Amino acid sequence: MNPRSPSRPLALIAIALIAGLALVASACSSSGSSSATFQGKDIVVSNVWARESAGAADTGAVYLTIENTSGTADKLFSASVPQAFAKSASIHETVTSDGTTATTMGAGSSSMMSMKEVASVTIPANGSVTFEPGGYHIMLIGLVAPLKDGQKFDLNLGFLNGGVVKVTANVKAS
Amino acid sequence: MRRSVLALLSLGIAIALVMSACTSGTSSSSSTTSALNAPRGYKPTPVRKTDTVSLPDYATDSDGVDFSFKAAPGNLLVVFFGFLTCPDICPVTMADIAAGLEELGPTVVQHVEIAFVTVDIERDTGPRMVEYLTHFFPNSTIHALRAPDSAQLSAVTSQFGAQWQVDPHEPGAATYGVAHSGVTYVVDDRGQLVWEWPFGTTGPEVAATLKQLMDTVYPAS
Repeated sequence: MNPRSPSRPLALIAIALIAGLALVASACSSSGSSSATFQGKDIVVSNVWARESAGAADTGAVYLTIENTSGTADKLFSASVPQAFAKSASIHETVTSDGTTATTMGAGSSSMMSMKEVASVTIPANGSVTFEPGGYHIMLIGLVAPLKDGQKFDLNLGFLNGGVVKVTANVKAS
Repeated sequence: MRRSVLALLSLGIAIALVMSACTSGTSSSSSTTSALNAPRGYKPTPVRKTDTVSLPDYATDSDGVDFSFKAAPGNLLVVFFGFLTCPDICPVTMADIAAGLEELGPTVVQHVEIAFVTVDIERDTGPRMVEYLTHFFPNSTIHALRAPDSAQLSAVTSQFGAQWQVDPHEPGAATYGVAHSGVTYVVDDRGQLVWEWPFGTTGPEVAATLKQLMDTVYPAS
């Protein structure tokens, strides 16, 4: 009789536990971000969303998170949407007149806020950049119809190394 | 044998860790929200009067009715300077204020008026501003304020301490840059500026501030 046989049930339990761990881990990560992720070459785009727009406003802003899984920095240099959806899309950053980004502006700051179009956004090696209110956003200009809660729409994002990544944005009420 | 048990133990610990990381992720975010549930911003000093200036209000009349920057008795007037084609700062601020009002409930909300002053008088019209404000504040008293010329707009913004600038452009151009203060102001029924919120003030912070202002500005009610 094999002297190591008593460990066999343990090995089975171990396999079951590993499977369990994998399940828990995957459930965990999927609950962390409710939206889908989109893959490019070494680029993962997630949490793509836009706020429902007021009828009178024909502009919108798309927010998202871009992760670079490679050891080389990448650049997002373009964003586009179908003409039937909006006239154009471009990469913008909200800035304050004293040069700081709006998200770091202190209380009582009397500086003005404005947007500037940026040529590209660097995604650091093994790092990520989050486009969020008051910072970077993809500006949608000339929306054909207002963005409605629950609506989904597609955008193409162009990366220097990562190629073109097609993503779908979810429209949220707020 | 002992090694297998150790391996099993470490697996068990790993599972526990993953699970706890998972649950703490959700619980900590909710506790962060409640920690932020305090007033934010500041009371401007010295006292500044804002009812010395007025602008046409298109909320109830498409021809515009003169509105002085002063809340109705017992109310608070929330004032923001923005423009309709602003995709980030303005909708974010409107949504945060709306979220704050939702948290406060109808008994307080009926005493909060929302005023939006356009700094883009060339592109924004009264009716479009009303549509915009109704989208964010369907249950609130709104004021859609548009100056007939830039001189009158400047008279108002300087009284508040707000700034704005429209980039030079060809007449009738569809796209041009507009810069503006991201601050939101609160005015009482005596026409005094009682609070300023910096950009990025969240819904719960808006709610907490308005609640505190109601108690301190109108202590009897």
